[in-house]
Amino acid sequence: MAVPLLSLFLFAACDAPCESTAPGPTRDTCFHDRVTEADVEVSADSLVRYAGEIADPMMRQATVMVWVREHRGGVADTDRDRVCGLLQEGQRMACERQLSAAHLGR
Amino acid sequence: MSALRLALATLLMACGQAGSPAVDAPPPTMAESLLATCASYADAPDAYGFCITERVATLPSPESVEAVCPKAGTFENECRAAWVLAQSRSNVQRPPEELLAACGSNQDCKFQVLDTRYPRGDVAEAVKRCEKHVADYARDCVGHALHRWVAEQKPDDAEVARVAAAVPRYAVAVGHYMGIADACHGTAHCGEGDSPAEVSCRASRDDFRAFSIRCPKLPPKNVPLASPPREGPNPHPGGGAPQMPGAAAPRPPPSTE
Repeated sequence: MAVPLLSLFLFAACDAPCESTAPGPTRDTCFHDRVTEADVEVSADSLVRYAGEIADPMMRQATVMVWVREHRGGVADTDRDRVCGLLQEGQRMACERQLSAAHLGR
Repeated sequence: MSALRLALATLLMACGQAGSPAVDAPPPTMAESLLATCASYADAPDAYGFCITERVATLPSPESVEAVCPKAGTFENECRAAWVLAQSRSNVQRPPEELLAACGSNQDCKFQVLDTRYPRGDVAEAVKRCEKHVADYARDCVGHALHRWVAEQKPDDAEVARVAAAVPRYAVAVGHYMGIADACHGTAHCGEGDSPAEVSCRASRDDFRAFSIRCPKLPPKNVPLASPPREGPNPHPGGGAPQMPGAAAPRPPPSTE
């Protein structure tokens, strides 16, 4: 009985959601990885939500830019504005170009 | 008293010896300082690469870009493009060839340089530059160049024939953009001959007359480097190349070769 319970506990611990992780670099990395290493498509809505959980501005913006790189030339205008709005001025224009220029999506 | 002097002299000598290496050591370069600033992210490759990219605009030279951007990992392309973009706002006028080199293997960065940093001249040369530097986006790059050409230089029949002969691979595309200029802007007219350019011109002219809502705006005289060519259902608010009827994006007609 103890072994299955222990397995269940270990499984739960390994799959602990980022939300339950204490604020700090580990939590930031967890949300970063959730976006950049996901096996399934991460929507713009999810990106905005996860990025909002990342406290470190550098990690947060890096996460956004990795997502942008994977969605070049194929994002609706409204999503583009929300996503690129997560970045500071310097990278915002690069973000907008990557998401809007059709040749980058081909 | 002499013991005190001896102690003071020893202390001064020690301080001098300890201080001399720091005085002699060269100050860190701006590239080294930038990397040191980002060192706290060394264990997080994406954040480290982004940190470098965010600060690269402050670097003074292509050499410093070469020292820094390769260290940005998967952000190397973004890093190079960020520096090149920053040069458009700089007082230092760098030759476009230098900017192309700084782009490294980032073809979209080179595309922006070709689009915005070369003086308007022989469009056939611009087409050749597109083929040489941005093979992945050559058709888009050529489309931008041809659209600017027909809109800004208003070529006559002889010039159209010269360009079509100089870049025969794009003769049909030359005709396509001439047809746009004829139908949409009234700045050109299609010839009546049967060369590939003239045939293409008439076909394009007829299409755009039938679907004038698709007519693109004239490109601006000076396209800001960062302005993305907005290619999609609403063509050219940013001054990019026109959209062909029925296409999702500007795409010059197939090669005639």
